[in-house]
Amino acid sequence: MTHGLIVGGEWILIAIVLAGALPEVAAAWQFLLASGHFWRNHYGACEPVFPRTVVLIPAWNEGAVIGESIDRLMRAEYPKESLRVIVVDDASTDDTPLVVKAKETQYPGQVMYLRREKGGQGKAHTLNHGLAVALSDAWMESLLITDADVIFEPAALRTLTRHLADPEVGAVTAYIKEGSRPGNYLTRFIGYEYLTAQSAARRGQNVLGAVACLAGGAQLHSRANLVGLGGRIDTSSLAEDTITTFETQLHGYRVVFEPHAICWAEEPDTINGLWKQRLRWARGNVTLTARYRRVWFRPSRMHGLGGLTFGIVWFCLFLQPVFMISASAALLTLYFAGSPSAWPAFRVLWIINAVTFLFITGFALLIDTGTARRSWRQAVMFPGAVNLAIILYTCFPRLLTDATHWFFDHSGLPPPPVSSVIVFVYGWLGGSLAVAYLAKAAEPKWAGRLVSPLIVYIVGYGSVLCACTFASYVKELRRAEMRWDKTEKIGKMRIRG
Amino acid sequence: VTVEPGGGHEPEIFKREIQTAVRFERGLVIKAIAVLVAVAVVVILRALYFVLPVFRASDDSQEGTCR
Repeated sequence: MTHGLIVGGEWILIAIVLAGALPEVAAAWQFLLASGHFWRNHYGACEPVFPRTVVLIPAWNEGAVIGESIDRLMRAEYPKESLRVIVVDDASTDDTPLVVKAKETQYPGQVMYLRREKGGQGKAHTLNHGLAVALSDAWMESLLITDADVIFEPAALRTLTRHLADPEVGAVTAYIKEGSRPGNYLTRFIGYEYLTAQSAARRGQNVLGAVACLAGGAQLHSRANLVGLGGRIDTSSLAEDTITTFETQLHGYRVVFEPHAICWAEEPDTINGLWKQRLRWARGNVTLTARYRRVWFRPSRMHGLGGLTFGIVWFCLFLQPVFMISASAALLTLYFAGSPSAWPAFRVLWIINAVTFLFITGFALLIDTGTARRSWRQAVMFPGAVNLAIILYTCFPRLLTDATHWFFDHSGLPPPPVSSVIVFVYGWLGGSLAVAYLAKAAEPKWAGRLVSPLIVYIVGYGSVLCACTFASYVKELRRAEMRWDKTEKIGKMRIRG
Repeated sequence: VTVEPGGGHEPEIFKREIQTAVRFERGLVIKAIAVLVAVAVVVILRALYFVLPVFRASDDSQEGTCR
């Protein structure tokens, strides 16, 4: 190790290691902000209003789910004369047309069926087809964009519309919960993820005055906002929801997250299904981050998107894989350079991770006790078994050391060389992304259905999402074709009410 | 937008629902503080664990360096 590295480079490497905790700290900060939602929310400006609302549902091969969704909307606690549903069929090849036409007959004047003969161009194109029809009629005062599988709780729509009494509000979004029943380990992970990413994080964004994304399956827009957006949804990216959210705020309208408007959606139950969906979202985020490069960190009186806190949180989460890989690389460099700082830096990094993990998990489970009852095991295992073991080891080294000694003394197995264990744990943060990819790669194989869940529990669901984000960087760098890989919905939800 | 009572959803119901929502949000502060206190207790316990002589030896070690 050169003297120069010891003096200057070592501190840079230590800083890179500690930066590995930034995404967790940013997430915890959002949770802290969420607790401030009691004093900074939009309830004071709400009124019991029932604008004439069109529900726009894009549909492609949704025969299994769309009938139930329409029935639920028709049972909403909302004046019947103020509610219409437009289904835009994106050239379905299943029985979607038959199901929707039957609903047209069942609810005359309230349900309308539109069909695009040339389909497969993506959700935004399908939405624009229906949007043009809805906007051409002066009857519409607000428009709810949803998905064919999304089930609205009876009070959800009126809970959303009350925010539109404030003319400064352009759009309102609901809390979408994972509703597959009985579901599996993955849908329970997603249920917990939605609790953290929506119910907690978006409350925090309400407090910040800048919302990152309107849920694609539950976004209510005022007519004025849609007109301000040019009467159409952006079709140039895979993240039309986020682009719409940003454009709404850049046009000076406020976006509100309403955590008490609940709807349910069917989410993927396989790693490959999840990967397809999240790769689309993550690639959209890459496009969006580049497109709004002149917005970040430039505070404005019109919107909160340029705020320092919002920007830091966005980039910490968007660049999470980069932070993870660089922290591991820096640790290994310190280790192989013989620096005594490697071990303390590693411990500080993981102690920060442990504290934020405890706070986020504990608070999240208390925010939504229904989801907590169903997904608490997935909440605990969210970081994965290896990360939990590292957390235990860094916080209580003696515990794990004694346990390891006991295991090797009694099993008769030779203990691994200390150096290889150290290289493994130092490299794990970045290396876990590669192992997470194995969960996707293994799933289609004959034993994959058994191996993939095991890998997810070992590396953590969070690492799977980060691996997906990393894959999105690669796809964007290679300028891979933007394909609209739609998530298949088969009607797994069993929601009462 | 149309401002009218509809479907039996009178202003009293609206007022009650808003009050319930605000009460829930206030409760979140208590929950956040409770969790922060719990985390602080864990951190303090860990700090005490450090102080105990029996554990000090392992924590003072230079594990994880190449030397």
